[in-house]
Amino acid sequence: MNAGNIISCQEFCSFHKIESSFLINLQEYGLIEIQSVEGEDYIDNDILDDVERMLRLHYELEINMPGIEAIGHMLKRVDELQNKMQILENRLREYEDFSEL
Amino acid sequence: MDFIDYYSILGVPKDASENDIKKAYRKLARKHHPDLNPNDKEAHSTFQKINEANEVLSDPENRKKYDKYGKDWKHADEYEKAAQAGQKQPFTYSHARHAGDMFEGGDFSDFFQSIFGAGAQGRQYSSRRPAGLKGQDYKTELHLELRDVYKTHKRTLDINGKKIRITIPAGIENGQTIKIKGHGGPGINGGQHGDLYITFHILSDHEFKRVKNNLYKTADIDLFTAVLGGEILIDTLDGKVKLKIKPETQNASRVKLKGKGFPVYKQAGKFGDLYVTYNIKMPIKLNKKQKELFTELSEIK
Repeated sequence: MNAGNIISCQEFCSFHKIESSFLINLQEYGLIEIQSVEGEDYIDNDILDDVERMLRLHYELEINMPGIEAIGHMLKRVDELQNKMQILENRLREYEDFSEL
Repeated sequence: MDFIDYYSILGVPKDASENDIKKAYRKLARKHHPDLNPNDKEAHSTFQKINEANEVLSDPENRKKYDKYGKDWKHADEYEKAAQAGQKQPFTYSHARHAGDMFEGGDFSDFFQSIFGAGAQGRQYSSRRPAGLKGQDYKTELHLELRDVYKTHKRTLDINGKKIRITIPAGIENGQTIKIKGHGGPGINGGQHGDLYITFHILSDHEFKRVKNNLYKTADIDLFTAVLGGEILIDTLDGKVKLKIKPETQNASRVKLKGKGFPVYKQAGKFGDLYVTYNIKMPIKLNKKQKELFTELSEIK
């Protein structure tokens, strides 16, 4: 077990002062994966940013699980669109540059 | 420093109840929250204001202090002097975090700090994490000239007051983001460091236009060289190159210089091509003799 890569759910929840049912809920909605090691639950360090984002959405903005799931899809879409826009902006710049030549 | 009307930021009347304030904040936060507006600086700064307003108005103590201060705003100068005497140290989070970026309660206004002091910051949300955790990811932008990224080079960046030296690979594209592992926030109790994400903005060059790995430029040649042929010297990003001009070269015709373009990202030694478009300069201010010769030339069939 590499303590640098996973964090115990219990520790995570007590740090953020939330009930452990939150992470279980996220798992039930298929939004995160919880690993079980020797009877204790852990989440991967790599998904920490995502979990904390979902936590903020839930506790600060009062968004429920289906809402968090939908927002997750939308954010993925926004990310794809932003990438696409960047590519298009670069292409547009090529044309603008050439009109100066 | 201007007075900030926190009530109008949240769109509530001065006598709004705690519940009204909470509701107004939540409603605005759902629109402008950084988690819902990735990479949107405007939404982030709006959220900072909303967050600051909420920080003040949702706390009875802070609200009382603010209401009193607001009334005495005409004495603002004295407050400012007092604040200056206290030498406030502005809180800098200029390099926002990745993911929950700019989420910290940092960057509160001078106005806020003048009432509540420089040390008074908003809740830190999730910026501190439990033991053994990976540190926060940082996110920053770097603006470079096209010529800067022609060669792989090292550069020293200042990230949250810490200097780090990074290698910038040649051929990086405008808008490209690279990840520098382990240069984010420190891990806690043995946790790994966070990562640093740098997004590059490459400025357009006035002489060379870049399309992926190819470069384009124009070169002026005089009419006589175009007609009779000759040689010209042109600048490439790799130094000067001698070009042979074929006789009867047409205006706007283009030649390709293989391998004189832009380096291919992360493929050492591989380059795109340079396309040179000829722009033939017509002679002007012809003297009498030249005019006669041109006339003669035009009459030869």
